[in-house]
Amino acid sequence: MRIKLLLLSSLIYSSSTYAIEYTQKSNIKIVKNYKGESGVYLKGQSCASLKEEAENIRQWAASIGESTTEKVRCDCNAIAKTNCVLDVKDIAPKILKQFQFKRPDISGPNCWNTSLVAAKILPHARYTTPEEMNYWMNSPLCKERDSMDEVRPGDVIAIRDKANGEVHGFTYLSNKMAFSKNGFHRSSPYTLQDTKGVFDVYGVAPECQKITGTSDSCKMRGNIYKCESWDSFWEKNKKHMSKDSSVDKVIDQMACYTSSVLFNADKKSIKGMGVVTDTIDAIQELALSNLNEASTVSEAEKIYWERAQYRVAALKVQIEDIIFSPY
Amino acid sequence: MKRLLLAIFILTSCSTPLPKRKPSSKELKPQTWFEALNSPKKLFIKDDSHEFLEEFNGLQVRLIQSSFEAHSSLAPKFIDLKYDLLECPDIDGFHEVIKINHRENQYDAAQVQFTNLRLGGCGLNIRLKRPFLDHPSIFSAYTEENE
Repeated sequence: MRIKLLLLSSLIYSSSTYAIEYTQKSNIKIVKNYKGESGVYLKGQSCASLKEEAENIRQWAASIGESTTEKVRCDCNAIAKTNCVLDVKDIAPKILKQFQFKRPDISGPNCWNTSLVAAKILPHARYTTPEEMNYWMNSPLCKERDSMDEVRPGDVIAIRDKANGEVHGFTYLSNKMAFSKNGFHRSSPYTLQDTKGVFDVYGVAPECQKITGTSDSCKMRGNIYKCESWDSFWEKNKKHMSKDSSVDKVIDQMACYTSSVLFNADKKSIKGMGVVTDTIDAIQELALSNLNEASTVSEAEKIYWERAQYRVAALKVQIEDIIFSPY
Repeated sequence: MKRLLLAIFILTSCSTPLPKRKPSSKELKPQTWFEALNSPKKLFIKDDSHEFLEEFNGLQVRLIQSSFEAHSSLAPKFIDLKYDLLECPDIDGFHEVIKINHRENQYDAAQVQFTNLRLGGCGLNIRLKRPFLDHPSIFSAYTEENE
């Protein structure tokens, strides 16, 4: 009888096809397929704990203007009630649905870029320099949280070293879950992962994970930021531009094409990068000449041209990897 | 006496090392530079494109140091790699450039420094330009069925 039960259990488990990526330390697993449908699913020991994390994902979405009141569905295995799966598709922000489990074809998109795209400060996935990351964290778009403040879903956590160098960036959802891409190489996936695990990978001691400003005692520290999207910031400030400019939109188009090549690389698409490389130097010159007039322009206009400058500098690094990629 | 001679013969046969066999091309699969950083398999130099590596073909190497950090967000300009050779060719040290052909052009992809301390062993220091990380390297590894 016992053997029959064992056989029956193994039959039931084997009939559920999961593609599983394990989180390091929490009990929540991120699953790619459930009952024959691919998507983004949380798998854990109870619907109560999964719904708690789902609520954090919903709040993340709301923090970047993607609010939803959709309900979530959580199924538990009829026999082993601790084997539960929750579908996040109706509450997840677009970036999670688009990028979870994904790896680019060409190296470049990294953690800093992922956290800036997740915060809607940048629109497209590509390489981000540490200078670009640092710029945005110190810009009016991002406000550092005081160490007494509660960390909220959607906050950007910047991991720095003692010399104040940027080391890593990720999106906080909860103490159990973060969204990140751990590395610039194409082998690193975008994924939800255990927050403690992220801090461990980068050697941030528990007492150093929520620091305001710098720290003499922490070799690695986490600074926490609440950030506003570029569109929201620019809507309020574009009136301060002394003259119209479409440069940001032109860079958007170049970044969009570059990003599409990164995720669908082939000889033809890489050849098309020629148009981007031709334009990029001209834009860099234009941004520099406008910044040289910085004393005569508003703070918002200065930010507009600095944004262009950092975007172009990072795109140049990314384009080099595309051009020399083995396609 | 006969037993003693037999015992001596057996012992000396066992202590004589087996001749090292260089794997054939069929047994080996080319590795990209990235795979050569991460592969747990035995690596062998297998490069017919660069004359200065002719003496090294089939020699086994062991990666002892790499500046590449898997979790690093910073894309470095260069990646520095240090390999020990398990067998040393009897030639002097040198410094050469590894060129690759890519889309009808030739590029300097890496610099190789070979040091030969004779009795002290020998090694390869390689400085690879980052954009070429996913290109074929000068290394191959056993295919799964030949491991």
